[in-house]
Amino acid sequence: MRSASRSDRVTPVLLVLLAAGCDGRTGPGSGSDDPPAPSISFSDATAASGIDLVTVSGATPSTQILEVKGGGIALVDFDRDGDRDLFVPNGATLEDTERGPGARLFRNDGGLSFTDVTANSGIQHRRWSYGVAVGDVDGDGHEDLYVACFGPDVLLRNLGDGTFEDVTGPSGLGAEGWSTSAAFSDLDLDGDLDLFVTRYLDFDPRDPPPPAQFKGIEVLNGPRGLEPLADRFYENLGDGTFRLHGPGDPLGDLEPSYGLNVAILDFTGDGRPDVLVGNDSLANHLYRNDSMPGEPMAFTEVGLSSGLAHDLNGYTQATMGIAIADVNADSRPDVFSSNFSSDSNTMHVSAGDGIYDDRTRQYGLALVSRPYLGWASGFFDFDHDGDEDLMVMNGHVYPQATRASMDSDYAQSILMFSNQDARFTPVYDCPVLGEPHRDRSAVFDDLDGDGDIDVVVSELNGPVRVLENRVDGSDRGWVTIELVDERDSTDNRHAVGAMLQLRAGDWEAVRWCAGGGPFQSNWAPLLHAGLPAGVERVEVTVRWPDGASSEHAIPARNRAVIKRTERSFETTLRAADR
Amino acid sequence: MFLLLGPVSCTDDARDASVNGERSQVVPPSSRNVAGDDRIEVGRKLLKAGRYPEAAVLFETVVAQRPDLARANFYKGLILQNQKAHSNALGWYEVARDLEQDFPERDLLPYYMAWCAYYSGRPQDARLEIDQFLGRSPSPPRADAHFLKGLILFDADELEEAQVAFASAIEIAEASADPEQMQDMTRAWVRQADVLMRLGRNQQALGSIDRAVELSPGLQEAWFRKYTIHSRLGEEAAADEARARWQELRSELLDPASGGSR
Repeated sequence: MRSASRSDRVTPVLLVLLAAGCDGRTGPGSGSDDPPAPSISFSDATAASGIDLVTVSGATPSTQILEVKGGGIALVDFDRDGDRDLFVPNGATLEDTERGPGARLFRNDGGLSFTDVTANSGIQHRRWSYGVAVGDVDGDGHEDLYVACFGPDVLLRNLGDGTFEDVTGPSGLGAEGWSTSAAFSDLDLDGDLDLFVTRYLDFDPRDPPPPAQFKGIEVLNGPRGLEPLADRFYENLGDGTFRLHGPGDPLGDLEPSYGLNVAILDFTGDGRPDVLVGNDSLANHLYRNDSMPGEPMAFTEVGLSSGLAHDLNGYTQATMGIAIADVNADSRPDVFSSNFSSDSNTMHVSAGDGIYDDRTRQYGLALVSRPYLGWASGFFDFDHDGDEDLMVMNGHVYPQATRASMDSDYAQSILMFSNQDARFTPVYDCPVLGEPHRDRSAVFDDLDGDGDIDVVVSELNGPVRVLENRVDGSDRGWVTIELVDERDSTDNRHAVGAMLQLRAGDWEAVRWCAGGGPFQSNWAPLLHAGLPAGVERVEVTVRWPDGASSEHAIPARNRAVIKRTERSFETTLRAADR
Repeated sequence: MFLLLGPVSCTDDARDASVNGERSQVVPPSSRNVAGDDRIEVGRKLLKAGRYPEAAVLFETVVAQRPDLARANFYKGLILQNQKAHSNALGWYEVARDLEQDFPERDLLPYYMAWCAYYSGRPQDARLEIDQFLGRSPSPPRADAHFLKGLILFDADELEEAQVAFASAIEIAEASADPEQMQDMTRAWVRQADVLMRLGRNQQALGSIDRAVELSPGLQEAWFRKYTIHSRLGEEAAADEARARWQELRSELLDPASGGSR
């Protein structure tokens, strides 16, 4: 942590100068423990994937802050064939922020093979885009796309025939400004998906701010000194339209900040979805949901008192990537965030009652991250050993960054941590992850249906890469679970807000179906768990968003879909694709 | 040589450093008694005078010409540690240690190695080194050595032991009656408060943080913890007061020169 290193610093020279002469003695060995056996393995499957996209988000090298965030990626099963396809909204340049090369839609054909179907999709989106949210806003069973843009945001309605229609205007969305991330969840507990949009700062490409200084070097300006924007909350009215909450509404008077990312799930343990906003260089916000079904919505901003607004020492951080996991096995969500270089990433661990402690150091995540500038992050059991590992994308915002000048390089490798006895240990023996890039957003999903979590990562002004997980699924157990709610009384088809508890003997795990994503992207509605050796069946309890629960038994190495209807819960199973 | 933590592990940093071209020329002497080099004393005086760049150049030269001198390797490590190149510094310290020679600062090697190992993400090595240092340290031992031990134990979630270590650091600093050392050990009071909070001893934690605030009234980290502890104790008025002071200090800390970037 930035401040930890300040306060714990020693001045080595002084002690030597005070030292008296001593007898020479031989010191002990200081060799480190042997590294863990390699178990996490990825290969770059981009070339054969059919994804040939080099994204655009300004020029290289970047000269303005608009050009450093990169664009998002979305996982969307637009054709309802059971696997997730990829939508990349893409960006533009300072010369013309409205007309970039355009968004792309890639259909997942299985086996990590994709086909570009943009031409026949009806998508003609070319505005400079950042984050994407995916949700079935009208409950018709088809996932829609919300694109956060520089300029008016866009809602693309999935018509169910493989095409999308821009319904921004009729839906009441499309506010001006610079939006970064967005998330769907049922915040007012009425059964449909509401929308939360984080916004960054006021920027005019025709009148850009002059350069600034960082560590004595001239760099692009911002965010400090530029005008922050208030996030926006849109209430789904259930008739295909949304209402923007304004002054006097429960989420209408939000404090302007430099919003970058958002996660929506029950952080306070009261069964209602809360909104965590990651703000750049300012305190994070946590909007605690105090609403009761059938009553007016109520939210209270409790970021400071929750402990999630700052690091251990009370310093604000950059908070780009957000990852959620139960790292201390208490069935409560813990929050990892990735941050700026010379700061550390942060692991906020739930202490109960909506209180979080910064325990980054105890989890081994502090010092190792200081040379990195982190973005999209994800907790997943990449090696199928029963606990969740951590992956963090990295890359600096300043093209001038070098180890010598800023203690941090411009292009950086992915950081992978293996979870070993509640401490995260860096994994450095996977060459694909060690390649330097300017990575920004990423999505995590079992894209090839073999039971392990693959990764698609988007580099700033670089290629979209497909990283195939090479864990041997035949030897190690896993399950994936998708929730589908087909009741007429709800439009929340993927049960955003649900929690799953998994058990097998002494092993327990928790997963959340949350709104938001790793960074400017979305979490798939697929809940994955690797299983400890010998586990052949998992007992699952689903806590649905309305408080109902259901029990299920799922054999290992199966992809399960748990479908809720008016009268029953049905589980269908499918083995891994090979 | 300004290597921090790279795409290879911290452990690998040091290992790589020990086999790079420059280092591979080191040939351990057969005897522990080798002829010294007068330039080392000159470099030490440069350091004492705060002339770090000149000292750095001097030790670079000496260690290149006399890689067999443990003391030269030690000072090379010290220069790097001062530049916060902890992994790299550790490699030079290891060479100094492995040469098995006597030199005046020899007993301090484990202390420095412990800090470098700690900042290089090698807590087990840091623990070995600081235990060795504390085991042999003449009386009175350094407060910050106990402080480091407290940090290592706290990071390892050995809370009771960490509290003892921080208490030792505090005791030594307070007994010294040295205002500078007492001020320096404000961080031990702060860290002790962290441990006590984790142990659920919030009232004791408050006592610890109050002492930190007394010693360093401008330390915003202490005021933030004071707010946090009062808040968790349900003492809203006191929490509000601490929060106001913390926010005041934070705004003072925001460097106007950083406006426009970070």
